[in-house]
Amino acid sequence: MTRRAWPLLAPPLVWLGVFAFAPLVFVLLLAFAQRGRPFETEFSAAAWGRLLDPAWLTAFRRSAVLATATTAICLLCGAPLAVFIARRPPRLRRALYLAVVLPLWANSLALTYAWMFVLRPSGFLDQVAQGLGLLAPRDTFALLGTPGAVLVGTVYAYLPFMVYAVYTSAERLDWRLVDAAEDLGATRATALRRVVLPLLRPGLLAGSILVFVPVLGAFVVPDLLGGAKTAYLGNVLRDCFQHEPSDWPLGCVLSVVLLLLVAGALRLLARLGGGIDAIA
Amino acid sequence: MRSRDVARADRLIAPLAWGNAGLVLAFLYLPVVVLAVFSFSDSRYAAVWNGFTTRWYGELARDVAVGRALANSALVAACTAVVATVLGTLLALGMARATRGRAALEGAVVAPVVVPDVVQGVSLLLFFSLLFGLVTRLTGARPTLGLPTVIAGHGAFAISYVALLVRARLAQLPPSLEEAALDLGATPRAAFRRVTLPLLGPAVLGGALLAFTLSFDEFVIAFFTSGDRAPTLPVHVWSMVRRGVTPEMNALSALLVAGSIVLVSLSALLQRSK
Amino acid sequence: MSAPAVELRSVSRSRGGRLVLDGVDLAVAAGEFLALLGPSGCGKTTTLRLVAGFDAPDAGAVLIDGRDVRGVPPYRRDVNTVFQDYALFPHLDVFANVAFGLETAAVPRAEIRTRVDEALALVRLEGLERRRPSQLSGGQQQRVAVARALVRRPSVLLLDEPLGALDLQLRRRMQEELRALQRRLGTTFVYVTHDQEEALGMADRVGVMDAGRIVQIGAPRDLYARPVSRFVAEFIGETNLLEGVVRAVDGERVAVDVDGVGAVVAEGAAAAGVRVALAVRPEHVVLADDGLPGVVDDVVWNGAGVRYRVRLAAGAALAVRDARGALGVGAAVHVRLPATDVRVLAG
Repeated sequence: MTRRAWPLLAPPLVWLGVFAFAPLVFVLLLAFAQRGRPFETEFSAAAWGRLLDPAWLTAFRRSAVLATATTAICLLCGAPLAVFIARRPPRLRRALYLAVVLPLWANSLALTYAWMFVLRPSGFLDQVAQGLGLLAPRDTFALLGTPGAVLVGTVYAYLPFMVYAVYTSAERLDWRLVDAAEDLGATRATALRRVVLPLLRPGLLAGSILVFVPVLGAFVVPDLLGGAKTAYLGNVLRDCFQHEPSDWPLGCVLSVVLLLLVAGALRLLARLGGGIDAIA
Repeated sequence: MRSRDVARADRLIAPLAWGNAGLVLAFLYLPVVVLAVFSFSDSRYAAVWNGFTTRWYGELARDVAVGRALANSALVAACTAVVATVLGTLLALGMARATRGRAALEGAVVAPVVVPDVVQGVSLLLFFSLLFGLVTRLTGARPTLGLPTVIAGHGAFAISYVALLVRARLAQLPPSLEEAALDLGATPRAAFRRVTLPLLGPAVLGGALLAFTLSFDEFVIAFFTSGDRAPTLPVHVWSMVRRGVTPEMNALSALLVAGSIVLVSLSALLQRSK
Repeated sequence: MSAPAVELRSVSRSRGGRLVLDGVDLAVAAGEFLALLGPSGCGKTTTLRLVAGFDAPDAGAVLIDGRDVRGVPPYRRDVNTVFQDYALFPHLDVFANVAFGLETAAVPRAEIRTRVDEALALVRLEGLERRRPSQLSGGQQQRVAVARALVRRPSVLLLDEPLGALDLQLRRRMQEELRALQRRLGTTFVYVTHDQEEALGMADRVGVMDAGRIVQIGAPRDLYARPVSRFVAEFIGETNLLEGVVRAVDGERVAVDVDGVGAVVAEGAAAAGVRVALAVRPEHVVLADDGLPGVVDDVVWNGAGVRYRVRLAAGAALAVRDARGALGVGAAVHVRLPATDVRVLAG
C-alpha cells in the first residue's frame, strides 16, 4: 500500500512556488539591485544605506507607534469582550460572537469609508456636536487627517481579529478552574492572574500578532483617514512602486524589513508558547 | 453548575464587562448604521438629512464602471474559489500523507497567511513586471496586468486558507475510517471516494466559500496586480473613495456591508441547521 | 492436518528505532478463539495490523490460510477487523455500513439485502437499519462493527480491544455474546485485549505478550496455574511473589528457603543454591491449625469472599483468599503453602 504524497502536493506547491515564493525571492534579489535598472547592473547594497533616511525613519516610527497603540487598545477592549462573550449562555454567546466577528467579512474599504463619513469636516460627528451645542455652527473638530483618526480606523478594522483569537482560547477554557483556584484560597485577582491569564495566553499572543503585523504594513487606513501629509510604512512602500519615478530597490528593502519584523514577531510568539495553531 | 459558573465569572470580570461589550459593539456598528441611514438621505451634502430617497442606489445601478468592476470581482472570486478549493484540498491531503519535509510544508502553508498583504502585492507586481518584460524581449508579445494576474495572487493565499480548513477536518477524521474501508475490500481509490471525500465535503465547501469571500473583498493584492484596465470592485471603490465622500459611495458602502452581513448570517444559519 | 488460519513466523517490526515486535511466532488454528493479552505497547495491536495488512513486517512472514500474504493489500485479504473505535462510517446509516463490504465485493443487490439482514439479526439489531452511527448507543455501535466485519464471512475475524469503550455491565454481556457468536459461526477469532479477565473468560487459548514477544501461550487454566515468568504471574490474576534460595532438588520439586517465610516446597525446575522466584495464588494459601504462624493484618471483603493480608512471624506478608472470612484484624493464624500450588518462575 504505497501512498505517494507528491502527486497530490505538486500542483498546489507549483502554484504557491510561482505566485507566492518566487515573487518574494525577486524582492530579496532586487533589494540589492541599483535604482531603476533591476537586471542590468551589478548587485549593490546601496538601497540598504537609505534605511537611515529620516523620511523613512519617521514613517517607520509612526507605523510602529500606530501598531503598538492599536494592539494595546485591542487587547484592553477586545480581550475582556472575548472572555465576556465566552461566558454567556450558548444562544447569546453565538449571537454576540457573530456580531463581533462579522466585520471581518465585510469589505474593509467600505468600513473605513464609514469613518470618513463620520469624521470628515461637517461630517456626522461635527453635525451631531453642533446639534448638541458642543461645537459652534460651521466649526469642525478637524479629526480627519490626524493620527487619532488613523488609530480609530485601525482599531476599528482589527479589533474583531483580537476578539476572535482570544475567544477561541476562552471558549476552550474550563472555568471550573477558577472555582478550584478560589477553593484553594486564591482571591479573585489572584485567580485571574495565576489561572485565567496563563490559559488565555495563546489567544492573547495570537491576537496581538493578528493585529500588530497587518497594522505595521497597512496603507489603506492611513491613506483614507490620515491624509496625504502623514506617511506610514505601508504608504512609503506602496509609493516606491506606484509613483513615478518608482524606486524598486528601496521598496524591496522595506519589504524585506517588514518580512523580518513579521518573522521576528512569529518567533517571539513561538518562544512565548503561542502559535498560529492556537487560533486555527 | 453552569449557572453558578456564569455567576462566578460575572463577579470575576466585574460589571465593567457589560459596559465594555456595549461600547465595543456600538463602536463597531454605529458608523456603519449611520452611513446606511444617510445613504437614503436626499442631500448631496451627505451628513444632512433631507428626506428619504433611493435615488443614490438608482444612480449606483446605472453606474457602468461599478457594474463592470462587480463583474470583474465576481469572475476573479469564482476562479480563485475553484483554483484554491482544488489545489488547497490536494495540499491538505498531500500533507497528511507526507512522511518527510513536514516542517517545510507547514511553513509553505502558513506563509501566505502571515506575509503582509502589501508585501505580497508588491512582490507580485515586481514578479509580473519582470516576467512580462522578459516575455516581450523574447517574443515581442506584450502581456499586461489584468484579471488573470489577480487570480494568480489571490489563488496563492486562498490555497493556504482552504488547506488549513480541510486539514483541520482531516485531522478530526480517525485514520481507522479509511483503514476500515480497505479492510472491507475497498481499493485505496474507492476508500477515498466513498469515505474520505464525503466526510471532507463540508470542509471543502466551506473552503470554497471562504476563498470566494476573501477574494471578492481583497483589495491590496488586487490593487497591485489588476493593472489599469480591469479593476476589481475593491480597486474601483478605492478610486471612488479617494475622491472623498459622495452619496453614491455611501450607498455602495452600505450595500457592500449589508451584503456581507446577509452572506455570513446565511452561512451561520446553514451551519447550525446541519 | 490443515494449515493454521493465521500464522506468524519470526515476525519482527520496528518503528522509530524501537523494536515493536521481536521475533513473534504464532499459529492460530482454524475455528480457534485466540486472545492476545498484554499491557499497552506490548505489540498486540501491531500483530493484528500485520495480519490485517495495515502494516508490514520488517522480517519474518505472515501467512493466512497457509498463504504468505507479503505484499497483499488489506482489501485482498480474507480477514476483517473490528476496530477499537469501531470506525463506523458516520455519513452512512447502519444498513449502508454493513453493506459496504459486500458492495466492494460486487455482491448482487438482492443478496446484499438478505445478507445484511442476516448479519444484523445475528447481532440483534433488526429495525435499526436506517439509523446513523451517531444515533446509536455504544453497545449498538459495537454490534454494527461486528456485523459489518462478519457479513463478508471472513476466514479470520480480528478484534482490536472491541469492548474497551463499553462500561462494565455491557462489557460482560458483549463478552458472552461474542463468545456465543464465535462458537456458532466457527470463525477464527484473534482478539486483542489488555483485560486479563476478558481474555481468560472468552478465549480457547491466550497469548501473553510483553515488550514485543509472546512470553507464554496456552489454555487459560494452564496460564493461570503454571505461569512461566514473574511477568505472566503478575499480569494474570493476583499472586504472591516470593523469593528464596534453592536448598534441595527432588525431581520436579524443589525445597526453597524463602525470605521472610521459611522452608517451602515448590513445583518446577531449578538448581540447588540458586536464587529463584516463587508464585502462589492467594486462594491457594490454606488457613490451617498448624503451619507457618502469622497475624491477620488487614481484611478486605469483596462480596464473594474475603482477602486477608497475613503478616508471617518470619516477616513476609501474604495475600490469602478465603470464602468464609470469619477472622478479624489481629487474629493469630497459621498458613500452609501446598507444594502443588507453589510454582518456580523462570524470570
